[in-house]
Amino acid sequence: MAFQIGSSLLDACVLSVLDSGDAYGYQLTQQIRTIFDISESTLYPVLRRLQKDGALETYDEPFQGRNRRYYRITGKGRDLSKAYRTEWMEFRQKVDRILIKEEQYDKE
Amino acid sequence: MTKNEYLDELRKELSSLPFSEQEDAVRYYEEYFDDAGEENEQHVIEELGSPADLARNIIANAGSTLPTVPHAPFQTQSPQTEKKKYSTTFWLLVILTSFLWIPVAATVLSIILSIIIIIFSIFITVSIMAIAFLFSGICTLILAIPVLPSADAMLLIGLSLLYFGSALLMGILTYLLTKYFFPWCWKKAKHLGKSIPNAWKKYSAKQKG
Repeated sequence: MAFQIGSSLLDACVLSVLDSGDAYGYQLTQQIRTIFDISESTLYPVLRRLQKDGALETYDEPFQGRNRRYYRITGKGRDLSKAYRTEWMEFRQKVDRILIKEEQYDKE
Repeated sequence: MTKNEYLDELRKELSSLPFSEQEDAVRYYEEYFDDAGEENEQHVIEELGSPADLARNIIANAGSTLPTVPHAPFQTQSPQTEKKKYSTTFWLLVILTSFLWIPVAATVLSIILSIIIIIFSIFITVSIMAIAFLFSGICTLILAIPVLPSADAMLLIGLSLLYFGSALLMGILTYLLTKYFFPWCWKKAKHLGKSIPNAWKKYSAKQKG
């Protein structure tokens, strides 16, 4: 992976994944790992921080004789996710303009 | 090292944190091991690194609720609320200053309109000339038929060939205009239409910053 990811991009992706359904730590890590080459230890601090910020909440669900801790997005988290999405689209456009040169603006 | 040894070690390394934080972290990784499955235990341990490293990472991130990476790839504050406030005052200003900008806008609009009309009339002129030359050529040729064969007829036939040639030239010009010139104009116009709002955005961003 050639690009470094900042933590807000990671936050945005975690929120977006949880926006489409609750998930537990391992599942979430595997899902994020399909996009980013993060280590298995990266996600816990991210989840903990988002939880402290009130963007996520947890609940336990019994699974095979133990409890599994699920993460669920809150209303605040949804707002944050939406803001990230808008911001990302603007950012992506700017990068595309330079990187992909889809529209040859700068001929002048 | 086994899973339990790893977790015990982790708990020890986390002792500087409040108890609830320690429990939460250890619990998360215990679950992580369980979900990864027993057969992947060694793999997970390798991936997580030493308990000391993992603990350092958790402690470093436990204090602040702000992102730890100094340069985030994009900003997080939502621009929507500010935009809304801006547009109310903006539109009020637009209405109040209308006596100023309506004449200016009218001038600009008529200039744009005349440019469009000029471009369009070039096209019409050239294509009508092509048709007119073709028509004249046919007429001259018909006129030459009754006086055949004579010097007059030769003159008329020559003239009609001249007309056909001119018609062909104008036809080619029309073709070139439709194929290259008009798309070029369209592209330039689109570019202009895009660059004006862009310049405005840049300008207002500068004013704000």
